[in-house]
Amino acid sequence: MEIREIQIGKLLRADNSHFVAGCRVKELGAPALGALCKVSLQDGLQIYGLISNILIMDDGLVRQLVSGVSLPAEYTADNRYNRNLPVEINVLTVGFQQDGVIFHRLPPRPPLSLDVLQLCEASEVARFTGTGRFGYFRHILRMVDSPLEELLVSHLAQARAAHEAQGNAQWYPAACQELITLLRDDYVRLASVLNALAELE
Amino acid sequence: MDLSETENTFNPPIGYVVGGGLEANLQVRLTVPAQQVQEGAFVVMDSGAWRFYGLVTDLQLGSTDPRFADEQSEQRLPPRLANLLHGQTLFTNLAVMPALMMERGPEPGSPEYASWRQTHAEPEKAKPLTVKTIPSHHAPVKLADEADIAQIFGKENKAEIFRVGETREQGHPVCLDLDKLIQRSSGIFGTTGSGKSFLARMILAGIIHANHASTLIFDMHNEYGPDGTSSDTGAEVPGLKGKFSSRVSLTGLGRDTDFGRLNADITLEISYQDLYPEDILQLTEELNLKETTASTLDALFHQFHKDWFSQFLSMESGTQVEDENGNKHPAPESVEFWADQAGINRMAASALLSKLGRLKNKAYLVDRKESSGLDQIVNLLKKGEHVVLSFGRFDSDLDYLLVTNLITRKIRSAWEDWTTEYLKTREKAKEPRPLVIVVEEAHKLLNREMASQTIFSTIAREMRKYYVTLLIIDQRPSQIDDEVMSQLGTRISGSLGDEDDISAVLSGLAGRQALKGMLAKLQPKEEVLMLGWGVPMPIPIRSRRYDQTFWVELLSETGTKKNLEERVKRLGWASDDPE
Amino acid sequence: MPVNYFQVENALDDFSKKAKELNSTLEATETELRRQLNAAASHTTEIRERITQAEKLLRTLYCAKPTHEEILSVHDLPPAPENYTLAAADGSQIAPNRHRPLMFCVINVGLIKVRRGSGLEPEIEIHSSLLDHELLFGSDGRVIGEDTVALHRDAAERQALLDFTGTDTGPVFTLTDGPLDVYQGVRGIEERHELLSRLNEIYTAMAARGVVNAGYIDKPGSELLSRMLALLQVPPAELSMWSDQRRTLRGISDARLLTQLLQQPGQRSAIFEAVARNELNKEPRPAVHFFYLNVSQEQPYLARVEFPAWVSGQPQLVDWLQAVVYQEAQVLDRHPYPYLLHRAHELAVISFEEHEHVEAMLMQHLTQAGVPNGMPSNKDTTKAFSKRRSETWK
Repeated sequence: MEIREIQIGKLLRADNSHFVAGCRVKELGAPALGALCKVSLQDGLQIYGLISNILIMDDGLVRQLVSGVSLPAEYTADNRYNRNLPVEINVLTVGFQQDGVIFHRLPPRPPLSLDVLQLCEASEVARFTGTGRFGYFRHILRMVDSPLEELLVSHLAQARAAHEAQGNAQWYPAACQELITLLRDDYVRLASVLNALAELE
Repeated sequence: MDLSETENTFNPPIGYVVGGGLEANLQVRLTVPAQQVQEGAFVVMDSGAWRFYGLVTDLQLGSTDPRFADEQSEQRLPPRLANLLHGQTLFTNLAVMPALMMERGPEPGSPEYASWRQTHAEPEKAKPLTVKTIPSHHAPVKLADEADIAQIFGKENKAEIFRVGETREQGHPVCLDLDKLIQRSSGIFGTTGSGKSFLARMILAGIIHANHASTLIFDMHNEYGPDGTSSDTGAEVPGLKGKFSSRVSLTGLGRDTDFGRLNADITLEISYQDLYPEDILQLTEELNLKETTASTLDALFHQFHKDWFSQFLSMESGTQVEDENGNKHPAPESVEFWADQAGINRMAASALLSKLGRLKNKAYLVDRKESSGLDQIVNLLKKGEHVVLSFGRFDSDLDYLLVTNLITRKIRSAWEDWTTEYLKTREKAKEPRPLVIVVEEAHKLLNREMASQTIFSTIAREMRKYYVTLLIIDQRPSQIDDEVMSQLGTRISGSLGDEDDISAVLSGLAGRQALKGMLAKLQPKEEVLMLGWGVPMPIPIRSRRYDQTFWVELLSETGTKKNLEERVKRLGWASDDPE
Repeated sequence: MPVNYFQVENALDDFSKKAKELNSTLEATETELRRQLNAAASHTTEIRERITQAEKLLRTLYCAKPTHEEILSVHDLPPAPENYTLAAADGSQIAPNRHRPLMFCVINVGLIKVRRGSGLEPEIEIHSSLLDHELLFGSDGRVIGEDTVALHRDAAERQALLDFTGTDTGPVFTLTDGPLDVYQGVRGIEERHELLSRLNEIYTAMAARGVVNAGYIDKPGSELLSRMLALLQVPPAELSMWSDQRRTLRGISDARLLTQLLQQPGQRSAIFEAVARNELNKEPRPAVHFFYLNVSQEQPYLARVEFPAWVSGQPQLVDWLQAVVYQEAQVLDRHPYPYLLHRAHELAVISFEEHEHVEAMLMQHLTQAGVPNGMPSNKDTTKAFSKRRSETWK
């Protein structure tokens, strides 16, 4: 499996259910909201997560430029490609793999050393999301203060593409069904999720 | 019936149990479109070692949040997403009235199976029981298939297991155990035009064909004996006489009763001497008799015995003679004279005489020593044959009340004696032949005012011990005495519109609330609801058509005939019957 | 220790009173200077002759000298060239500190160059150099101070700029923060001669390539015009005895004087020559011209733009310089300052963590080479105690 690496500076912080990594603005084309990524620990444990938020930090100069009348293209590019503006990638932990077995529960420990944040290829996305019965959805649904509908839609779109590439057209309807089952007592949330999912049809 | 037969056919579940109970009905979440299931559907539920049988009594739309129901998701969301909501946030629940359960045991090959077989040597002979427990949550629910229905209602054998119709959804045959039907009084109900007469004919044909009981049919409207014509379609309607010729005797009340192409086998003329005071008392309302009538009749009978009627009718009213003093006194031949002699109020006696004058002109009442045809009727019935009594031109309520009551009284007396004699020796050959008396317009004979007086209520209450039961046919069951209704075992009802009539049909039965709506929505002339003693559980069916095809099917081959001994043993009609 | 706010507060009234008095004095001074300036407005030639004369007579002279433009002329903002190259450089340093375990000096120059009109991101470079050991100490054996390090830094900036713009074709502008003649006020430094020579070579090379190297002075406080006007008031007979210390009208900067003149955004003043004469300085000085430029679109805000004298001979270049500097300052329009200069500073600055990191690198390497490291002074160590505590409290 080809591994694409996102260069990050360092692990900023982590707990059992989230971790935050940093990267440079230049690499921002790679990670997308809802994308499945993983971190490999030194003992062989691989922790999977969904990119739940990408935070582009600002500083005084950027704030000043933003408030300006117009910014020349060269200086826009300067801020994007030359200045080491930190980008924080928030990752929601959704499972782990140990000894070749995938689990949809939280890992026994958070990532301790984070050199490389790997973006999972389609085949691995299909393998992780196709394991079990969508158990990892509960981690997403537990999110508060975050637009989980948007995360769900982004993730489902990517996972759907990964499964359909393997000829499995049933995964996506089953995933939608599971979401409806999990959210059927929460009208507000489910309506919001369905509205977002409607855009994928 | 081996339950495993039902497992082999493809019959996918339609839902699963989510709640409810014995009293409040089970709640079943539907997993197929609602239109695939109808009210009245017969369903089976497997849970643990038991199979449960129930009836769908309601379909209810529900939602996990009312906003899901309010919002037209089909317009707001793509079709695929909108469809996924059905069955989840939008769902249909069935209300299922559990009725029966049957032990089917653990799965063959499982560890528990061997020990279960030690206590259940012949599992294939398991019988359904009245439900006493409930299936577990999520027990799968299926529409009953043909084998399930046969398991409960029996498989047609062209004898006493008689096919009365089919299930409404899938057309599986539903049978009625005629031997069980006649074990107690029963009723066929329905509004005018609901097809109850056709239904009655069909069932009577079955009874006659099965030949396990005799029938006496009081054919008020000349519908059962001779062939007729359908008032709706104009098609020819076969009669019982035409199909069973020698076994069915057409009886006319009085001479000159018209049976069309057919002649009367028996002419019934009733001797005055067969009239008893209780026969007159049953005409109280009809003749507007007073409270004094009973004592007057009593005095007459006491004095004249069996000649009381003849003697009474020969009296004159108001005739007087003068005595030597010129005082007027009732003439000796006058009723007043007799009243004075008997200590009866003159006016009461005179009034009674006047009212009984209506009977005087009845051509079927004859002042002879003996009735003609009455004993013949009783004897035919005792021999196992069937009598259709047509009233001909004597179609008033007075005629109906008098004749039916009188004949039935005779029958009661005969069967009581027969049974008493049988019980002395219990010789099988001497056991009385079961008799079903078919009464139309039953509310005229069995209404609250009459019920305590007529012989029919007695028969309904007591006579099944003496092998006599009623089959009443009526369009106003609410007017029939409650106690009589409660004695009815099997009830077969077409559509009813009146709330009181519906309540009357369901009175005394468990789960009647759930069945009320079903009764009101039956398709006229096509659907009936069977419930009560003669059916293991209530079930709505599409009734069999009473037409030429029916007769061809009925008469084309004979099914398995059981001898009397076997049949009685199965039904438990010994004198120590706990009921 | 915290400030004794009580004592400060007690002094506030007196401070305000004196500030008010000073303000009144300055206002009066400004009024007089304006009068003098207006009076001199139409005598540009005479003024130039008077200054020239003063250059010959006085041992030291630092003032503005009119060029070919009328002294109160106002020049509107001209159009900028569609395509041009602009490079900026800034430097920072780690000066040797005897309190630290190791004596070393790092000069960091940040360079940034943009090709306006290309849409491409600017090129950036950072040059970090470790000063040779022999340069860390003067001939008296003392470690060099901040001033000397600054000299090295300024030289490094200009050299880097020259190299950075080596292959660019015109028009090419460079910007540095501060006056062009960086050594103008520097005395008594051994390296001064060598560094000044280097500077002249750099500027000459730039001139040869037609590169307009400009210096940007933000919120200029110099009183070059005031000094010039003072000379005009001196009777000719007393000119040879004039000293700036005798100037009475002080405290009014050129920018303040010209604010009322340059009301419109992008307007510049006349070009002046920056006269900086000291008989003790034998080396040839770079000939520097300057103008004041209103870089604000709201209330007039003046900066001084310095450039080589040869640029004045090419009016197109002057116009372009005016337009380019103004245009670049508008990128940060709420606080007008040339964007590239800010970025150059950002690239050059050495953070405290980086300082410690470099020190650690050097110490580790020296240890591996068998060279013993020193210890920090107790003074320095105890300073760190206090700093860490206040950080914790934050």
